Amino acid sequence: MEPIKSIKLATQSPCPAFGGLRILTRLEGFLPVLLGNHGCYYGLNFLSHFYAARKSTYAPLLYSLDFADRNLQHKLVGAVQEMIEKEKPEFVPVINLCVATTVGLDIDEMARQIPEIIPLSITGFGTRSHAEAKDVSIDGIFKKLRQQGDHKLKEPGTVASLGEVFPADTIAIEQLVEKMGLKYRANVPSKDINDFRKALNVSTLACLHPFYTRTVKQFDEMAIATVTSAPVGAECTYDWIKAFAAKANVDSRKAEKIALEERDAIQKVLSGPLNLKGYRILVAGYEGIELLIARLLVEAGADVPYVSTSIGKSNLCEPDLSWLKERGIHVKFRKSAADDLMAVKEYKPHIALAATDVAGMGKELGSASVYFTNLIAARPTFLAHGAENVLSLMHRLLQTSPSLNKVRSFFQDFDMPRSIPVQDVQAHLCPSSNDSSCFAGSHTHTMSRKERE
Amino acid sequence: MQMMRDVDLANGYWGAIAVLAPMKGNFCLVIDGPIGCHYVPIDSALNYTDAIPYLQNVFATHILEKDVALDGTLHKLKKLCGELLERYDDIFILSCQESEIISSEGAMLEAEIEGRRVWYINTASLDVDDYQAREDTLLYLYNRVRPKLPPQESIQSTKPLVNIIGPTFGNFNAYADFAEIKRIVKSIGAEINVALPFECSLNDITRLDDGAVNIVMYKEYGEGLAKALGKPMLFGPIGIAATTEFIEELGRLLGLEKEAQAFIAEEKRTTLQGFWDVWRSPHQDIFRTSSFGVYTHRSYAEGLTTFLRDELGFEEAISAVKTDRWKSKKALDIEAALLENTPTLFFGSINEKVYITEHILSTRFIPAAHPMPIVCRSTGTPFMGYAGVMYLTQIVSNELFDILYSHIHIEYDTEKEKRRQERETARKEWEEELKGQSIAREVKWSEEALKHMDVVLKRVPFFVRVSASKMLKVESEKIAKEKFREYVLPEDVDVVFSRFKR
Repeated sequence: MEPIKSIKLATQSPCPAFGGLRILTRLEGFLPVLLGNHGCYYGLNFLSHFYAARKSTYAPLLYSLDFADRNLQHKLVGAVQEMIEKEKPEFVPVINLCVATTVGLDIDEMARQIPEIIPLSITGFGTRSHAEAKDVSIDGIFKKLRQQGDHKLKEPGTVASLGEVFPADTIAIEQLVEKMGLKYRANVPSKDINDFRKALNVSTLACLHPFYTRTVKQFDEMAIATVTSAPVGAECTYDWIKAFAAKANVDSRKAEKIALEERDAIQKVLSGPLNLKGYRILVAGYEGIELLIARLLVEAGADVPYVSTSIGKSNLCEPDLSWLKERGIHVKFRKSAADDLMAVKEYKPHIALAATDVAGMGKELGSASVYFTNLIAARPTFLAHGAENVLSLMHRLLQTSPSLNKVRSFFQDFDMPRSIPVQDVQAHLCPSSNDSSCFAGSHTHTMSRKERE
Repeated sequence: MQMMRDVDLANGYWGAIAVLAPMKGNFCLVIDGPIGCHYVPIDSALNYTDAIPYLQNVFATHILEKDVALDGTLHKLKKLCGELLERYDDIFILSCQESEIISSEGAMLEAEIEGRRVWYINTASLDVDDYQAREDTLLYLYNRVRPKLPPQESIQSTKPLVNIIGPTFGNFNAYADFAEIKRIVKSIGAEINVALPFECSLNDITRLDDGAVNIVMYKEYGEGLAKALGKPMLFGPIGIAATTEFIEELGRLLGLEKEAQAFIAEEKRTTLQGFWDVWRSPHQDIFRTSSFGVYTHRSYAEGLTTFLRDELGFEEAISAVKTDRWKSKKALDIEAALLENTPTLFFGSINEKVYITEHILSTRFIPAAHPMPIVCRSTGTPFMGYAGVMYLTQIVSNELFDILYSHIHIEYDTEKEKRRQERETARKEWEEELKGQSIAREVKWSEEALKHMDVVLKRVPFFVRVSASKMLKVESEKIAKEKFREYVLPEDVDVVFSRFKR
């Protein structure tokens, strides 16, 4: 079945508010308040417990009558104040969801009345992806801290990093910048608000993910140099270290030496036994780090025909984007589920790194697909150690293909509910209609659910 | 205005999805809303709770800011429906909180596309909760949709026909309860007419009137439809007495009294034999000296309370219904209740598990309600029926023995070497004492610490207090000694107590 074309947005990107909660619930001393409807609360509460932190979220129960109430704003301020008295949080991020935004609740005004409030507007129809909602949240936190004057302790020769990366990766960054003679101060987002304060006072910021456009703008305002991209893969690492050193005023000969060392170490991994020559891998995710992962895979010899992401194109994506384009790789921003599905069908990859539904479909079509976020975004990717890690994972996935295909072919003769129709899978796996050797069962056993009933 | 913590009931269109999406047939659902309204219930909640991946018969309009502010959402809805009409016989358009607040004109579409079955359901998401919506949607199917569907022939059977109303998506443990109810119905010689919505096709709802009896599995929703059907109605039973009454009543209503009696007798020899053996064993002594708490949806809250308290002999510490917290301000504050009278076992959702963890309570948590990140597809875990009696007995028994086990002395592997050295030092000290070369150095208990030990022991289930007190005493003294203190402090007791949860 062809995907529905009318749906232009990425169905794989969660409700953007979840991206905000992912940052905010992990911060100790923060007590998030949602303004919306109980349908939103239920789902977001569950998602944030599951993915972010096991921390309570607060919300007023609002019915249609409440939204028509002229005193709603006033009542909400009272309720938040009461909650602050009881729970004594340090900060209260108040998130305007779709419904509250539509009726025009003024959270900025609330923030003027209650100093603990960090006003954040994160809507499903306005914020385009959950990754960009993280940017909105971090931007809001920094704004609040600047209002409180927490940016006035500038320390030269210091570095902070921005991005939800694996802890080992921040250690790698720390060691790298220390080799360059700089001091590493913090990675944000973290669970400690003081890390955000530290980040406001550094001289160089490494923006590791390409969706932090608003946050980077704030750092520009404070004249803190920012470096985009991240040290993933050989060539990219070399470029990154050089670019970083230039921004941080590191001696260029020293930088060149470090950059070459790191590049060679990674190259050794890439061209070693873990190389991916002869394999086709499709990279579809939602946070923009897909670009970096794709570069790494290409450098390891893999054929990567398609890269997609849910975030929008911005100058933070350069130069990774141009690197990929130079090699004729199709890069899709603001992709839809349909785009990814079609790509899986068209390119028939050995491995599809994708969001849940597309990865599921990839599995049905016999490729060793995995959920991008859980598998790739949750492990080290930087420098040689990261390269080794990602490449080993790819080989592990390829090794498990036969065992997964055993289960897949067991279900192949029956049109399982809500999956790709059997005929489509067959056409995908055996393009020639005469060739049925790739199936465990014979064609005569193939029967659709309807026929059987 | 009241601030709620961890709201645990969703709204109207969640309920409508839960009822409509599981049915088979060539139809689809369209959610008229922004991306989150599609993603959260469809891709996340169901994926992580019922383990149902990406429902491909559910679509969304994904409205954007400009649709909300300027264009309205009708053009998107029209375009999507236009494509969907080529594939599906029926389309259900569901309003969500956002399309309701901007007063989307989706209802117009229902009239516009003539000759096709397009249904616009105003799910009243802004005002109605999940369970009310499940109730309303079931009634909507019967009153509005059924008359327009092609009538299906009645099932030809010599056996009396029974409808089952209730197993829906996002309903904790519905698969297992449903399997057990089906087993009971079939075992007494009746046949299932329509099982709505899990095992029926959309067109099957035209046969609902053929059922002689309606079994409404959950008290939370379904009763409205059963009343509209006008036939006798029974609720899904939890516990021995309730199940027996259920089977007898079902038999009586269907003219299968003898078969029902024979089935009960047979069950005593089979399914319930395991229960009987546990009931007369030492397990039951532990049940009677332990307590439980429950905070779930109505059917489970009432059923579990009756079964655990009246049939297994547990002490009831907390028993409350989730929907009550939602509907009235008098309802129980679950966190306060947990602190006031901490139960040994607690049945609830992820929220309560968080509170138990936050306060470091010794309570054991057992999942019994959504939201909960859990795969809930096995049919071998019913709470209902006789099989439910056995399953519940098994989980509480195993949980209690695990508590007992965690209080039995263990030599922690990581501390083995340290302990060996300690023993060596202690032996030397003792030898020196014997030789009169030194005076015994004993650790004493401060009054405060002794009092604290009492408090802590009360939090430990009765049946493990002997082992627990021994461990608290010996280990707390060791901690005091290590820190070169002469007195045990209350915090030493706490450190040891925290190990009990392992």
